[in-house]
Amino acid sequence: MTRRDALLALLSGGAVLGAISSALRGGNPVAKTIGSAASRPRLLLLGSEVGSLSEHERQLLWQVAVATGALWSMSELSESELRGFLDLKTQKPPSYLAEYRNALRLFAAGGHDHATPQAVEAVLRHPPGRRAEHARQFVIAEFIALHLARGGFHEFGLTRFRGFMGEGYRVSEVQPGTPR
Amino acid sequence: MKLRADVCILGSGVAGGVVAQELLDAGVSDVLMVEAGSAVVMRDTRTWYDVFTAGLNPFAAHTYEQADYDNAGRTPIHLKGRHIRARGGSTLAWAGLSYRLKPEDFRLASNTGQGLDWPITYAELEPYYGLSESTLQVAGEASDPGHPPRNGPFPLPAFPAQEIESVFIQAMRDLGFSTQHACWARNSRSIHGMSECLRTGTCEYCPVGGRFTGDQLIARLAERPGFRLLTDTLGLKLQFSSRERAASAELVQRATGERHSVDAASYVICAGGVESPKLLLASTSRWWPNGVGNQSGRLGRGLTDHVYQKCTGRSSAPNRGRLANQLWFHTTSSRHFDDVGTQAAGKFLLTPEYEFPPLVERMSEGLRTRHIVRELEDECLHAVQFQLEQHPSEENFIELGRERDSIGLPRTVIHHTLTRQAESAAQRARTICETILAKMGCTEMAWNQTRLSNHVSGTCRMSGSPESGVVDADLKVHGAQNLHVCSSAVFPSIGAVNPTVTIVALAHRLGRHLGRQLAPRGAP
Repeated sequence: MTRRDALLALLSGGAVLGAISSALRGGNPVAKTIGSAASRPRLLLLGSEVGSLSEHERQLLWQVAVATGALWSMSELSESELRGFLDLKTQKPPSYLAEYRNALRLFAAGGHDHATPQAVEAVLRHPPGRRAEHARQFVIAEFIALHLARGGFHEFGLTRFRGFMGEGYRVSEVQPGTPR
Repeated sequence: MKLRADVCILGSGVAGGVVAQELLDAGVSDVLMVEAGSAVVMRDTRTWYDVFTAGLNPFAAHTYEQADYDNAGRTPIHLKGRHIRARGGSTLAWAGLSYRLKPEDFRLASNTGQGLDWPITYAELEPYYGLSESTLQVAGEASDPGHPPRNGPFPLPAFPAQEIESVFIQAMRDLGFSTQHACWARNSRSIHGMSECLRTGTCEYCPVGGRFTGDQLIARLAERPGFRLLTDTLGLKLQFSSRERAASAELVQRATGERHSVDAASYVICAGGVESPKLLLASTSRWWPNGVGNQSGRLGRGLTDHVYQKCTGRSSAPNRGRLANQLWFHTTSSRHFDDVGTQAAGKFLLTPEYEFPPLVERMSEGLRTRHIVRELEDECLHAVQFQLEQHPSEENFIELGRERDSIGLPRTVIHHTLTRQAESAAQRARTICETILAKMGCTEMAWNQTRLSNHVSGTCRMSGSPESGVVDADLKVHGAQNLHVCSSAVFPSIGAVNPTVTIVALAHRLGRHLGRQLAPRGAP
């Protein structure tokens, strides 16, 4: 299997819609380390409720992702990949359906028809309450990780980042061996 | 239900898989494998996303729970999160480091007066190491210093050292210490129909199967006639019809509680360093009142593990090139202190390690690009880690708990206290790591906590006589005719390196040995 074949297979529907690991069945994930430990939510909202986002909700979440990327000039993430990501995260447990709807309600409550970079930044810097903490951790932080993996790390002068699939890497000029 | 098989293998990890493969290759026509855990979906995109966007452990539901074991010694061994109970075993989640033991590792007692010699030599195992590296798809460079004698190249070329490791390599050269390319069971090229390693940095759950995992071997076996696998099935006890002969294995299906009994000509326990001795201890009978093969009282004893620790230092030079660990795994190591001269004190392996840029965390705090870039340039941290050999001690052992664990097996009680030898060797290794970091231009050095590598070994050790161990040189339980053990449990000592490539070499050797005994005449 070539590198290109592997990448295409991974991102194609067959692999994407494959059965989710039983490792995840029935349990809510423990959050990764973002924000202060005291404020960090550890469980997904209604993680067992699977379902599909509406087309309108998907479009709004794509705008959240675009606004998030814009804060750091990251634009490599495609709408089609985000849609695949959202489907995978909502159609199998633990489901992010309630998390995504919570985030959209948060932005709507702030008077934003669609998320702007300023609105995203406000959630990140001053998350007002539990709803915003959830949006920060389970939506925006994960969109950031996705942006970085699709090439956003270049903005920081790095060569690769976790989740990135690409050619080669920078090799040391001096290779291991016996000391002279 | 009564089941029949030529060979019953308990455990579906890489050792069991290789034994099964060798038996089928030899013409044995009915191999039944029993696995306590379930199948895990590998190379699943949702799971992969959860690993790198949400930081989840994809095997959380397939490992020990905290309540499954007790630590009665002063230095606990944590099974949770490290030992996997699932189809394919712990290599589902292993890093993939694949170094052979060295000839002196087989002669610990002769060389140092401590522990026990292996009843086989490196030279006897060398051809099987070659098979093992082929099975595990090991990438390495045979011409590097530090390798034991070998007949041939690695199956795959080594990963070239990445840029950030140049500082470590140069410092090692300046100090007169040798380095080598790291030996990984990762596909530096496509092999066996599996993808090349795509350097995604998500090695704990590879999205494309770019490193060897036990499920790959089981999937190939499942396509072969003569192979059967029972998952979610516990091996509770072996019944004997005489002192020499195991007559059946008692099984229970976890979901239904249904009992099965397997009558086989031969049994092979491949359940790792923890569960292998437990099954023998649980198999008491009038012939084996203290557990099978326990005439010496050594079953479960001699437990050992590697000790590792990492020292981080701050580089005095700013990181203008924003060098970082590009691969999220190291490409260089040193076996300079893994030699016969350091064996008595305690051999150790050295690797450069790096903290990863915490970009997601910083961005989630709302920090903008210029702040993060400044942090990346100002903060250049290097680290060196040692993994050292702890010589086995009779005082460290595993025994059965009274209650059942979360999947229905006896709970595990671990008695482990770091030996004086290991403590002393760790102190020496710390001094050397700090010397290396200083040569790398680092100050403000800080050590993390000493940890154990979870390479639990020695609990059913090989020996030349029943008085000093549990299994013989052919891995047959002393005193039993048709019962073998293959796992790190049989190691009399562990050297400084990760055990899997040696486990797999022993599995090839055992599988061929049993295949010659059990295959019908005229079979291939």
